[in-house]
Amino acid sequence: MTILMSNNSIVIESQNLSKSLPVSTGEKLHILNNISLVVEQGESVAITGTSGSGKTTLLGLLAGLDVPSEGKVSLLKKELTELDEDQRAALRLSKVGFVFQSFHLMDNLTALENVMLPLELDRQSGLKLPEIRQRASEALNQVGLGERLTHLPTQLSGGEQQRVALARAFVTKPSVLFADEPTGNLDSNTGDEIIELLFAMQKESNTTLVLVTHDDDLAEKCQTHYKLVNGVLAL
Amino acid sequence: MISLLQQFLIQTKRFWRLAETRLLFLALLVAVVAVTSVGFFTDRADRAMNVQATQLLGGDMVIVSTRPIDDSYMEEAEKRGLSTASTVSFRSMVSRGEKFQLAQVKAVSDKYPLHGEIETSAVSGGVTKATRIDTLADNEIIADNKLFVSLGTGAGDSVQLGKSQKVLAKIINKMPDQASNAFQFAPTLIMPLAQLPETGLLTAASRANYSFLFAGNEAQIDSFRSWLKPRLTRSEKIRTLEDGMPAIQQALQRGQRFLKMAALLAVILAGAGIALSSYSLTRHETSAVAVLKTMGASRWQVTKHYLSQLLIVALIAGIVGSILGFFIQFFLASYLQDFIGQELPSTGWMPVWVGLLTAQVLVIGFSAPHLLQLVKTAPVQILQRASSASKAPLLLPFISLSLSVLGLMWLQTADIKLSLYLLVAVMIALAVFWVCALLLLKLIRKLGERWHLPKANRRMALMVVVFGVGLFSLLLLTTLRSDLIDRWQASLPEGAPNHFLINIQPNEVQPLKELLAKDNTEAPIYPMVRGRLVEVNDKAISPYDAKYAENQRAQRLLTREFNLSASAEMPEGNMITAGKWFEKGAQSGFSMEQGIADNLGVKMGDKLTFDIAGQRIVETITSMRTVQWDSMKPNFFVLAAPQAFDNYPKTFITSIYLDESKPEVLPNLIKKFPSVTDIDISAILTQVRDLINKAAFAVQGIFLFTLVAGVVVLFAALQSQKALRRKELAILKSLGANRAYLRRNLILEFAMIGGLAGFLAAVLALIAGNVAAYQLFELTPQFNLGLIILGTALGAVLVSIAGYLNVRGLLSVVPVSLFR
Repeated sequence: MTILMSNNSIVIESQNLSKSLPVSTGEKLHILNNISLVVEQGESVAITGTSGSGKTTLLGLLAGLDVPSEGKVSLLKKELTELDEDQRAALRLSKVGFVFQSFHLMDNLTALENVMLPLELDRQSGLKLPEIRQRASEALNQVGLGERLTHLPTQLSGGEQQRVALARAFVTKPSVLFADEPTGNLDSNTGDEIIELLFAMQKESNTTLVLVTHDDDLAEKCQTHYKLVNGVLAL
Repeated sequence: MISLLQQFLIQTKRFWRLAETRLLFLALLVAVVAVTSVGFFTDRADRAMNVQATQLLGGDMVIVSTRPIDDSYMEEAEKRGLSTASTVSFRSMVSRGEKFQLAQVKAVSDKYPLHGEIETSAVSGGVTKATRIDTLADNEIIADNKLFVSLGTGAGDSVQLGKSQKVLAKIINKMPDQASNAFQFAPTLIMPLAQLPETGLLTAASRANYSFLFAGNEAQIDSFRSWLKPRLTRSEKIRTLEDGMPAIQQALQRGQRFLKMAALLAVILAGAGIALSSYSLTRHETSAVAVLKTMGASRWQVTKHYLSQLLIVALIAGIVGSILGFFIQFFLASYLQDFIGQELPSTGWMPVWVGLLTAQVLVIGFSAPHLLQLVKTAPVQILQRASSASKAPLLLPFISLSLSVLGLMWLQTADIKLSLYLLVAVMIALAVFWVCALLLLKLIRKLGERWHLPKANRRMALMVVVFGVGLFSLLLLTTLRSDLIDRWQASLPEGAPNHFLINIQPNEVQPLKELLAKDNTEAPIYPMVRGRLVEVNDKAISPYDAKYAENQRAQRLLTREFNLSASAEMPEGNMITAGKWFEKGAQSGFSMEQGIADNLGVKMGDKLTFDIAGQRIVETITSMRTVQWDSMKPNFFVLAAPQAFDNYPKTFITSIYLDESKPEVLPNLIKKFPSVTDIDISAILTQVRDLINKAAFAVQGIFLFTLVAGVVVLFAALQSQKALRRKELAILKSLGANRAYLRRNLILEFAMIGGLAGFLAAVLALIAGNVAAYQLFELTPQFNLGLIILGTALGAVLVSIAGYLNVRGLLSVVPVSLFR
């Protein structure tokens, strides 16, 4: 059980978080039970567990992509259970980044356009199109794809697609980055390269990292490593 | 602002990269091209038909009266910039020496006619030239050939008309206003209005018909009509195209109804294509929306993004489609030019607006439910391995689709009743298709096990419904089109009667029949008795009865005498709608035309009393009929049992075809039967035939668009399932299926889908076509087995080819793609 702290550096905090789903028999399937954790600014946290252990569900709850059945979760000092879907979206805007196992790039957008997307969504930033384009190409340069700006995802390899996804995730300089099995669809060499890049970028921008994986070696690279067994969290 | 526009253009460019967007655009484009080209085309054809109809009338609007008409109307019309002309017509005797002939004198002002021309020649059958009234010399008049024949004169001879001597200058071959005067017995004589006073024929007590003719643009005429209406006296009536020309009007209405329906089916078909493309787009974009939401996009941002993109796609499709539509109709119209032999009026802007609006309605109505579903996508779906569109409630798409289909139908037909009727028909057809498709596929599943056919599934049922509806529209249109054209041509075939013979005396009936038989001309001869309807169920009725207060037609019917007739056989083209036709030997009963019965508010079993020159005949209505008014044969509102009028004063009437190559037949006939009056309707027939030819061509042209729309739907349906099929083929390949096996299975599956869809479509089109033919076009129902065979074969072949071409590329899919 993690001790709950209360200071200014806390980025994510959950209290007795539970998630259950109704099943056809009328009973409830408990996926997560009383999860409480705290993540501080700049910290890297790994959550591991076997298939079906609920690690992706936990990631979704912490990022405000889903709502818990019970308990509380706060992200960037905002109590997520008190916000509606659009308010949660507004919170994620430019402050939260994601990296997915299946990359999830828009297949009708070029690499550059994919990276420009989160900046374009944030109207509050007041950035003009040339600036957006500039920042997106810098981000792609950073991941080594400066020459592939106009390529569509179908013209890129898996590793390259994940690099674009990393550039997209970091282009807004987010406070928190959630990564769901970021190397799950890649061979081990490419996977290692991506992880190296991910940690380098995380450190550089002092971004908090919450990483879900079934790979214990990868998890060990994080400062904190939680294990999820039968919906219950353990260090 | 510039940056916003720039942003918008960038978004549109990105949206365009989606294959689904391009397919959606194509479906929209076809809909708009169909709607606008049909719109432009019907607009012009309509106006051409109207031009022709106004030529028959002699102007755009005519006021008629039995008293001199107030000159202030004329002054007001001229102030408003309208062209005007006036006529006075009355009967008068014309003589030359010992010979006298009653003529219908028409004194006309210089500008008469405002539309159309008076065509004359110097001798009968000579070279025809357009003649203007102001080119006639001071004492010259012109007249029908009949007047020349009966007075035994030639062009240039003098005749006595009232107090003055006139020169019969030319023979009138064709003149406006002929249609409404078809039943005028006396030959027409036209003279300049300025010459009228010197004849001394017209006094205050004379019975004459006065008319003012007006011509101008539509807006001028409409506004003048509004000014005029409240000022008209009881005796002054506005005459429109509908009056006195039921034959032309009916042909026009039938043609226009068909054109509207054809355009409508093209739109509905395209709508199906749009719904399918939107469905594919939604499926494709589900994960994109989830990603956008994880990045912090709000529901409003997502809605705005997709809605604006869809609307801009619709706008572009609307503009490009309108331009294409304009050029296509231009091509059609220039081809049509030779057909018509006259300049088509220019196009209006209306079809463009209709096209643009259609695109927007289509995209909102058919895509909106999918879009709402898309916006609802939960961001957490992105973390779930199989992200899929959430289950949509069915009510919203149902309401949205129904309302937009209804809206589009209304936009096309401007007829809410017809639109509702079609909407219900489409819904029933869909439900029937779905149920039949499931049942048939179940049967095939059983047979399939034995014959190793592709497994029937729900996806196949959906494809059967989609293709079925497309083929249904095409087959329905094909049947109606050929029915309609056949029927038109059959109603006025070469050799259709072109002369009416009236005033045949009872003792002349037999000899006339014999004479006609010699010329191989046989036609039924009907007695004709003129009677006024005075009582219904023994109660006196009058045009002033309260129940007819708002019914001008009924008032007119009750003030004039009906032409009653009697017949043992039901006249050709009539159809019983209630009761039974007279049995052999029947001596009592009336058979009434349905329309007039509705107008007068009488029904089966009512007792009608007619006053025939002081004698009364009382009979009960034993049957109701519809009458084909455009048959150019004698038609009667009321027919009695065969011997009903034996003891009443009567004359007889018949209609015959006289070959123009035998000009001697008619004078011989008139010489033998001097009391018989001939009414020559060949000029009207030519005009009606012209109209029919034009309308038939228009129908063919519009049918093509529906065909194209159908093909787009076919591709949209195939495209919407492409991703799924790719996966399936990859799995089958990974399990060891070779290309030949997959090819055979695909073709077999498509043939099955197409054959089933075609079979169902043909059966339903046959039913719907007969109902529509009967309800809308008053055509006789018929069963056509050939259509079912054609439908099944067409469906199987068409869908196999299109389906195979669409998925052919997928046969080379590599199984490893499954792991990507």
